Amino acid sequence: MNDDILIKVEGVSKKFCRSLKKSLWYGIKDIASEALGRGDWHNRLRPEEFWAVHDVSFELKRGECTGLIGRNGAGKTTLLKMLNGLIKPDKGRIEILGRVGALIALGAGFNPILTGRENIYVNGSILGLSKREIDAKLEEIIDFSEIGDFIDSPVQSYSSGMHVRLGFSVATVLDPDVLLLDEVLAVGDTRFQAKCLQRIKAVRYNGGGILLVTHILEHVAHYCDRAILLDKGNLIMDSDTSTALDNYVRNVGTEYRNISEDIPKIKTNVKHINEEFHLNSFYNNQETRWGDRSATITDIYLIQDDKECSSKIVAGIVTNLILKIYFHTSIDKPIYGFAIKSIEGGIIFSTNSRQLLGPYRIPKQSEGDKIKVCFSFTPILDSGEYFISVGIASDSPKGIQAHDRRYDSLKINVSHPLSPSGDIEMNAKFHIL
Amino acid sequence: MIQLVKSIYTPESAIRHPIKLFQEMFRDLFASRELAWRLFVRDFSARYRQSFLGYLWAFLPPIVATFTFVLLNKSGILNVGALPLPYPVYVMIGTLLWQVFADAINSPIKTVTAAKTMLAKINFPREAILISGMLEVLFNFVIRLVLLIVIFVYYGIIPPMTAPLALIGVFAIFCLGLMIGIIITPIGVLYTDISQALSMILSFWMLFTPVVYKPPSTGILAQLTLLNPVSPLIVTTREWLAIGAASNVFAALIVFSITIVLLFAGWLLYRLAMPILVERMGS
Repeated sequence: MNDDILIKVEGVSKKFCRSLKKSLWYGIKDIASEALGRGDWHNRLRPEEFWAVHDVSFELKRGECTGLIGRNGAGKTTLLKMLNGLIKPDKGRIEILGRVGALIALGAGFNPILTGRENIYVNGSILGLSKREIDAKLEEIIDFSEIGDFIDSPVQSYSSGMHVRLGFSVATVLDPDVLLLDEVLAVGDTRFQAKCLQRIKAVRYNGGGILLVTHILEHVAHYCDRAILLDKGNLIMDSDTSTALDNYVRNVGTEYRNISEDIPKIKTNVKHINEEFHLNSFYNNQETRWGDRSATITDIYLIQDDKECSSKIVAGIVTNLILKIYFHTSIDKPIYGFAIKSIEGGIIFSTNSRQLLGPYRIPKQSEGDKIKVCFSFTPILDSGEYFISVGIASDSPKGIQAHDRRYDSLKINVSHPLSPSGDIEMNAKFHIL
Repeated sequence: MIQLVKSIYTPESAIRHPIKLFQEMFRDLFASRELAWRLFVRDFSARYRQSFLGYLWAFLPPIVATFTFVLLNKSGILNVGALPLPYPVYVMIGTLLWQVFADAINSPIKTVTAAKTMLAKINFPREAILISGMLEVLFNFVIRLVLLIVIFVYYGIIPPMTAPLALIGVFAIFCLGLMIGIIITPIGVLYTDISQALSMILSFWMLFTPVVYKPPSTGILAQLTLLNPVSPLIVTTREWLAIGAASNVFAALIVFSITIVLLFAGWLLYRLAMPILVERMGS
């Protein structure tokens, strides 16, 4: 195996049983076959069994962060459990190079009666750390968890957020070659998620590989450079993040008919419209764009003092963010949103039309409509670089549908207003009282 | 660059490569010592923290059991005949030894069931939970030894020269219980019937074991006692501990040898069964 390939999955299948009674009985039989060294039971399905993962192959290289997406029951967690060596594949072969760190059960083995400090040792041992390693990192773990004086209180008095933070902090001490993450980013607040991101970056920087399992597509869009789409145990697609997310979003609530990669970027019935978005001087050509494109964001402007900003944004003054949107189909309840992220990836601010106006004051749009929407805000930011993400989605009975999400689509430069003397403008005024 | 470990997972049963399997078993056993200790300390520190009487609970069951049988004997309901030791001493030793056996049988299923969520989500040496359970059983025995010392002093019994051998006897009883416990664990984790039946079987089993009475020499009970593998171990250990000459060392030795072989087989089965059990543990 090439040293750059950390995970190699070849034709892996795993079967599960729908009926509990049968599953237990098969369990007894399988244990007997296993003890006798017979392996023939792996290949065929017995009554009530189905393939939870079917003939899946992929590779994960050093420095990659790959998302594993799919609906509930698609086989994501089962695949992850096989990669972690918890359960055996029924067919195929998995090779993993290096130390595997799995952030799957944060705070595993925590005893609610014991204090946070005591539980750090328990949890650390379970994750494979020696007492010496934990001793050396104890203060770092406690600091990272931001639990403070509660560290000597029983864990049962912790909020769920504190519980997760402590579990995550212990796990960060691991220095894995392969990091498996299962839905951990879904918990915790934005700050915590930003910390997760830092951690992911560190692992990648050190040449590790990451496999992120989640059904929160935003996380995949934010963190992954590749995504694998699973459905009913089958690998539907293994491609760049945007393509995989596009495919996933368009097929929500439907069967996957098209298993090839030649799904067009834009729906076929969409007529060509001019996109000028990429002509914006702040445009970031590494944006992650996904959605079903029922509506598309075709252009974007940033306006300050009635002028379009082209080289920088000045902090502290009212800014208008204008989006041009084209509706390819009619949309009943559109939602427009935008977010500002730090260059490290933490979300600093985000809002959407629903939060600002309420759900009932945004008009429906019909097919062919071209509209402009405007967010006014005051960027109270340090000078430096930031990402802006924009998006259009809609509320439907099936849930929130992403139409056109353009993450990190602008990379802006924020500077502070200069006073006549060249210092930072503080809007100083003088009065005699 | 440091050579990285490579893990390979295939459907093939590990028993097809026995040498590699044995190597892995002992490697994991060694690797699990620190975790086992940590889990033991965790369970131990947590157990009595939410309790008013605290460690007293470790002593109460054998005291109550001894008291019960002494009362039954005094009131004539239970007639045990002539014994080489004062009856309370006899019962106390028997109860303590039986407790080791019963605890050891229950330990593997109990610890594996309690660790289900961990087992289903984290890859750690699976031996660790067994060992932490074993440590708990042994620890409970050690603290109950205090009772033994108290009762020996009270009745003025001086332990014979053979007393240290009793430690081997206790170890044999412990291994026998553990062996049975580990072998039934795979089924016991799948079907709760096993744990349900176990407590019933154990209380019945105790009646066929010379725990609180002297083994009879004739009759059905004598036959059953003879077939019962725990009997020679308990009888021999008690004799070593308090009387001196042991009457049935040979039988005890045979039981112990078979136990050790089967204990290893049980450990093998436990390892092979674990992935199949984890599949059925959910999350």
